[in-house]
Amino acid sequence: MRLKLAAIGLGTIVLGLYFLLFRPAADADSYLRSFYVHLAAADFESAKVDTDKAIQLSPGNARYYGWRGYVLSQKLPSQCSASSGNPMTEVERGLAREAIADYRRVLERNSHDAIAHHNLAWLEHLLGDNSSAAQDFREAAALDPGTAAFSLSYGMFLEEMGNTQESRRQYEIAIELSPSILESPFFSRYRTRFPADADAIVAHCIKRLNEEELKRGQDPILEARLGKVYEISGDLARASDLLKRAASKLPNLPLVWLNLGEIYERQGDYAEATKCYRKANVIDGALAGPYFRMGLMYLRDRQNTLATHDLQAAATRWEHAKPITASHNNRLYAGTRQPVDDLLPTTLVWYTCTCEASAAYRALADLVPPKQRYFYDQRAKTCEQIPAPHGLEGK
Amino acid sequence: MSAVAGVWLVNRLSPFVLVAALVVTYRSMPSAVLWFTIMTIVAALCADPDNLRLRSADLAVALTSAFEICSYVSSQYRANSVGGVAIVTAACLGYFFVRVTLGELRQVAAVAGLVGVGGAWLGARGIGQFLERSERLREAGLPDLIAFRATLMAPPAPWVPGEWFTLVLLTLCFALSFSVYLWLTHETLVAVCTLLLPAVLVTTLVLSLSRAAFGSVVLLCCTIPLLMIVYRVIPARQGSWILCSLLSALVLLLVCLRSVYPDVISAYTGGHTSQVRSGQGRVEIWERSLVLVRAHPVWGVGNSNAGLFLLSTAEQDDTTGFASRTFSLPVEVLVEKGIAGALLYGTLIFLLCSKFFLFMRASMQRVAELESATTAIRRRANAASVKELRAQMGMQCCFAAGVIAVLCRELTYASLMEHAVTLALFAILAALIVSIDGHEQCA
Repeated sequence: MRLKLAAIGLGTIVLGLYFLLFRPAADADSYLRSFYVHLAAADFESAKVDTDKAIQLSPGNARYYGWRGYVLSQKLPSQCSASSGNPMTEVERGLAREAIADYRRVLERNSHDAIAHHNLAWLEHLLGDNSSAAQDFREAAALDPGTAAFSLSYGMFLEEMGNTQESRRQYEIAIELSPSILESPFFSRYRTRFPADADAIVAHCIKRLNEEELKRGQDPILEARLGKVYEISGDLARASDLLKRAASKLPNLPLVWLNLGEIYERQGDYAEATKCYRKANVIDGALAGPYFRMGLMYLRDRQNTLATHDLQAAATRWEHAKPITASHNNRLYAGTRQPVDDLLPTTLVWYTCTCEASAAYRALADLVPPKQRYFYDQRAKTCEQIPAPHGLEGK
Repeated sequence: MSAVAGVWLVNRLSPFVLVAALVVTYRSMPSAVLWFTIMTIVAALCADPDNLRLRSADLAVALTSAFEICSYVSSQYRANSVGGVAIVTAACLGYFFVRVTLGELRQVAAVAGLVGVGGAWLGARGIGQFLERSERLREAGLPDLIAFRATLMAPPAPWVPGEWFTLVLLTLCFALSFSVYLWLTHETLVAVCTLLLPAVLVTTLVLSLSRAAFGSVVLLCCTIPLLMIVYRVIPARQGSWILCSLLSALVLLLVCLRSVYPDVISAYTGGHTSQVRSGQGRVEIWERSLVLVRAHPVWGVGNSNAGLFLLSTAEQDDTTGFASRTFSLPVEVLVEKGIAGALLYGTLIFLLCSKFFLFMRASMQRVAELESATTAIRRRANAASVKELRAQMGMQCCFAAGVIAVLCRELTYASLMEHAVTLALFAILAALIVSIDGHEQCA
């Protein structure tokens, strides 16, 4: 009889919890699903309504405040007004203040949210509160030292503050973690501003990664990183050797095959290059790079139908996937899977990643019928004119 | 009259209701909690009170439930912990549902059979995915399957392969217990036919290329006959023959698979770079987890918060990857639930073990008594009881071996508490160990 009482008692408590806790949390999470749909359609008003409803149902969930802060920030300039010379309007300042309040609510609830620290820092910097911004940039990098974007942002902030020495150190950290940054719009523009520093960063990364590799004894991840840096610096023989070693130890790394394919292509071995791109494509079908590279190879061979198909496939993948933080967050926060990145400013991810979308759009503009040409031309222009965060270009 | 009808209905329907709840739980969490709650309350209201005795393990499960609900308050980030609390409470309700409704051996066998069929269906899908993906990789010139072991079987989101293998392992215990039940109740031909279910599940786990999953299969295959020999469910010679047959079947399966996929055997010798890195990464994560345990010793960081808190203990030079979990159930319990939670869960496992040993010892004596009847008529009359008691003991051995195999697999992978259906299946195993009390029934 006591077992019966225990079962009924526990059932009743859980029933109460279901209506008080579990159901509201699930309902709030379902608003997050519609939020992502609205965000993808750039319908920020509806997206904000979704986060408001989610917050109403589950006010303890930091993630909803973070997304509301992100939506509120969508109408803000991507460059700091002080540097770009375009002062923010009162409406923009109001939005920035609201977004800051939301990110502070995130950190009150979950002080381990590195992205909230990072985005808050950028907003604080936008409003001119640079000491708080510096503190939050440091917090973000300390909480999640494996995310290169945090070090890059902090570096850009320091560069804008005039601390080029320390900013260079932050760029070095970021590039050691993710050498493909060397191929990003960020680094090519940095090179035009500071050519000697850019070369010094590449040299430093090669030295550091070599030291680390020696210390750790042929770590395939370090080999892959070092191979990429050598590839970008033009030492194809060493790059190829390192990437082959990495690929033989860990053949499941798609970017290693992509980079190896690029090296073969540059060496004129198109058959091997195609094999490598195919491997990268089979391992990760969401990767745009292999499609783009194969599309260009088809274009060179005048196989226009295949080229159009592959370039369109690449362009589609670039549109959707820039998973710097999205895949990370799926595993850190319980609930609905996050399909998009939540880094501010929204141009940051495009600005700091290897992205050949504009080249794909340019090639497609020549391949498609004239009616569709305008569409691809416009997209190419958008990609080429990504505004740099923090107003560094103005200097 | 209506009460009698209610009891009859609950007894007949409970295995099907339970399996339906597990199917719902596989995909959807919030409705699963409601489903488990309603069915447990209804079952408890309709159940026959004479059969219901509160045992120490029941009390420990109720306490665990209460602890998890209270620990929500002390969680370092509560929003993450809601799901974890829901999973544990749903599993505890599943436990009580089984305790309240499943006492008869046939009901238990029905549940085992249905879960086994469900598991085999999942396993067959996994094998299909393995064949398709391995072929694609081979065509692309990537024959090294070990490096791709995490992608060869793709369960539906939000499952990840490692968690899904634990689910398959759990269903394997049920499938094996169903075959053992049929065999010990002298339905030998049907028992042989039902071996198809464990065969599919074992093949899935062998093709997982996961050392922990494969090790658990070997452990399960060894523990079941050994327990049956130790507790004299079957004669030692017969038990040894079964043990040898099971191991030979495993070796044969490996040899057959090796002829098609040469990597299968080398996957279990553990020399591949990805496996070495996986091992190193685990050790690093456990070291970082201990830092968290020291920082939050009593109550831990809260349910589902290990990944979030491990993030801030990462080193910039690490290349072994992002630590989204602790990769060990004991470490996870310590990190997320603290010493208090670890003691509670430890007590629960201890009580389960003691219940199993007490039942098996008592049943062994009872069988001896029944078989030592002096007259032939008496012995013949007792034969049915002995058969039933042996079947109960055999199933208990399967459930206990299942608990051991799953806990061993979880030493290097924390997946049991990630999904309601895995924890619910484990709770059902525990409840069945506590519920089947042949000694009392026969007496």
